[in-house]
Amino acid sequence: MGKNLRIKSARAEKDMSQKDVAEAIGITRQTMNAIENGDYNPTIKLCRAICKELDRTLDELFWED
Amino acid sequence: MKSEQFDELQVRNRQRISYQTMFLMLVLILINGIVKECFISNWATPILEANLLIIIPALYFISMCIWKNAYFTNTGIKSNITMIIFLILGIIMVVLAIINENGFIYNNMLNFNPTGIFFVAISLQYWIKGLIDRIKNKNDE
Repeated sequence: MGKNLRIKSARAEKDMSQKDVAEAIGITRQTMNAIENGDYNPTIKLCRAICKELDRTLDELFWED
Repeated sequence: MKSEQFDELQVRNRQRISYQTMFLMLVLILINGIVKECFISNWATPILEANLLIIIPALYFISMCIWKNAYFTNTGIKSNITMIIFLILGIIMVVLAIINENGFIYNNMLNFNPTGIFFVAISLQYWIKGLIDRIKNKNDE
């Protein structure tokens, strides 16, 4: 699993740091970092929370071709 | 999700570490049994023996949780006061164990209570990990 740059760019567009997103959805910054780096495959529940926070759809952030 | 104490990665890591800790405890109990059966019937007083068999796996569990970021809750509330108490308590216990007039080995049995080391080790790891996290947070921002 490679790095998820789409989350990073969505985050940058909203001018949010990893810590801001993590705090908003109730996870640690390290978990957010692991998701962005592709070290952790989150559950659908967490994916949805991230999408809602970043105003994106699941496809836009997590779908891999 | 905010109401949960640990996030899902933390829960996964804690489960993994718990399993390893259980395995470690089983191995230690087995080694203790073999040593008592084959070599030395009493290498420590029963209470010290029990103490060690509890402290070693507990120290492993807490240390791994700290380093795998699964010890602190996802709320970011860190127990600084608890850790200060742990450090002071640990230092006092270590000093008391060192100045014990009977020495580390008494009557051919271990005579050193490791509880102080346990508290000091947890406290120090907590501060070191906290410092590393703070540096990493700054770099990410």
